[in-house]
Amino acid sequence: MISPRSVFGLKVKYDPIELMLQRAMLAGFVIYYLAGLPTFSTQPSPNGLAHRLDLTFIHDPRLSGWLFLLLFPAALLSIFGRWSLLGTGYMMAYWVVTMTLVNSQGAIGHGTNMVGLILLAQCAAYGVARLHRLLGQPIRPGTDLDEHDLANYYTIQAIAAAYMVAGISKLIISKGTWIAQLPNIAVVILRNHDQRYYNDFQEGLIERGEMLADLIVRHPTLTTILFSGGLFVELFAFLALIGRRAAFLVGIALYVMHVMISETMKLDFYHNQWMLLIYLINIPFLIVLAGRFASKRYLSPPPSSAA
Amino acid sequence: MTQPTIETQGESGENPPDSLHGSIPTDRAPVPEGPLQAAFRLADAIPMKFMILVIVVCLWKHEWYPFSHFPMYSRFGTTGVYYYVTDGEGTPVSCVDEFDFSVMSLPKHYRSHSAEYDRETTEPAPMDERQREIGTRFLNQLIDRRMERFSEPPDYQALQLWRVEVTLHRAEDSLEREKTLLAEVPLP
Repeated sequence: MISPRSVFGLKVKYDPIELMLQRAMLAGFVIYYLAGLPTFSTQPSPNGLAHRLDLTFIHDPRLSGWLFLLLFPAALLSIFGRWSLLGTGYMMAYWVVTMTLVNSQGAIGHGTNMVGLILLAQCAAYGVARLHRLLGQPIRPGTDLDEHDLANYYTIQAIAAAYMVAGISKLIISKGTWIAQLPNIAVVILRNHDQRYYNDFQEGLIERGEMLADLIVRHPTLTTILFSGGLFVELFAFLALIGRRAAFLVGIALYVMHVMISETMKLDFYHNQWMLLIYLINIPFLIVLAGRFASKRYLSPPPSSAA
Repeated sequence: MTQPTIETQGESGENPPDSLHGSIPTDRAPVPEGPLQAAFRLADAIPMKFMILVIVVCLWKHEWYPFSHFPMYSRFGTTGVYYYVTDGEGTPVSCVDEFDFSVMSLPKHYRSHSAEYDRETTEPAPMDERQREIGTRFLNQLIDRRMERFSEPPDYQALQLWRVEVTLHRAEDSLEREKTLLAEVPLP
């Protein structure tokens, strides 16, 4: 019988190499990004945890080096799936504290939230798996699904949730008129190109913005058709939970949306795009598939010819 | 009441493999169900519960990292505002290189200073004066930020904050930019 649980519930058994590649990519992304962040010694406009705690300790010169170095063993624990709750938990705590401090400087950015939600989701999944173990219950009776499959399932839920919230907010904040307001996106396009020009003084950006904005002003219906697709892709992101193929298709649709936004509005969401590549489009799985194909094609013994 | 059973040994009497991590064995003997297990089983019957929980928390808390209601570009009006910084002669200064701030983030910083100003000020000031005061505070923040980052002085004597308002005129199908100098601060 078809039920929401059978359609959207946990069912995908991931390949161990695929899972390890995913965890390695996530850990590499987290460490690489955190290593390049500016440091802050105050939190003038507290956000999140900073309302209750002074998070500047994470950039305290006496501590920061050690705290950052601890990310490496934590990442190794996470990558090799050993004490995953501890390894992923440390990465999550470090990420959330650091990015909360960054967001407490007076300008809240939303580029990194998805990574924070993914790390949180994985910790929640490992915690739930631990509870299952304590209660003597398998994660999914009658299957060999394990804590890492659950972590991936929660990760896809976190990604879907982030996009769905963005879609729901568009409807709430615009009072349901988001699609009707789309032709006004010309203002944003012109403004964003100007802003990007003042960021790095790249030649021709202002003219490009003027050209695109003018095109949109002259073709409001086409603009509405082209851009409204993004809202539906966001609202239906939960379809990625159906299975691998659905996740791939939703991932491609969201990735294309980001490319369009990047090209027209000069807004880059590198973090989201990387997470889509790792978990929905699932580059690690494509690598595993290619490996399987190559080993079958080149390593398996040739069929013995009948005499 | 039946207490939850915590298995510490495998069927062979040895510690189960991978006892701290890894796969959960599925071929264990059935454990009598207690209230915790029952609650767990009920929770398990709800698909996508983590997603639903995240959506609810995001929409409820609005901004509580990593939760957010992601409000950006949720409304498109016919006007838009941005800010940029120049030296005393009006030549644009790179905010990224000098202050490690993206120009995209300047409106958010300006709004933070504006909110702070409004909290501190009881007497309403004329708009020009208000903007000048907020702009001055913002430029001082940028100057402090630069001094934190570099020991050598910059090759400009003052900083100016400019506000640009972009307006879409629907009747003429045209866009217009209006630039205003908000504040100027000499460097110490």
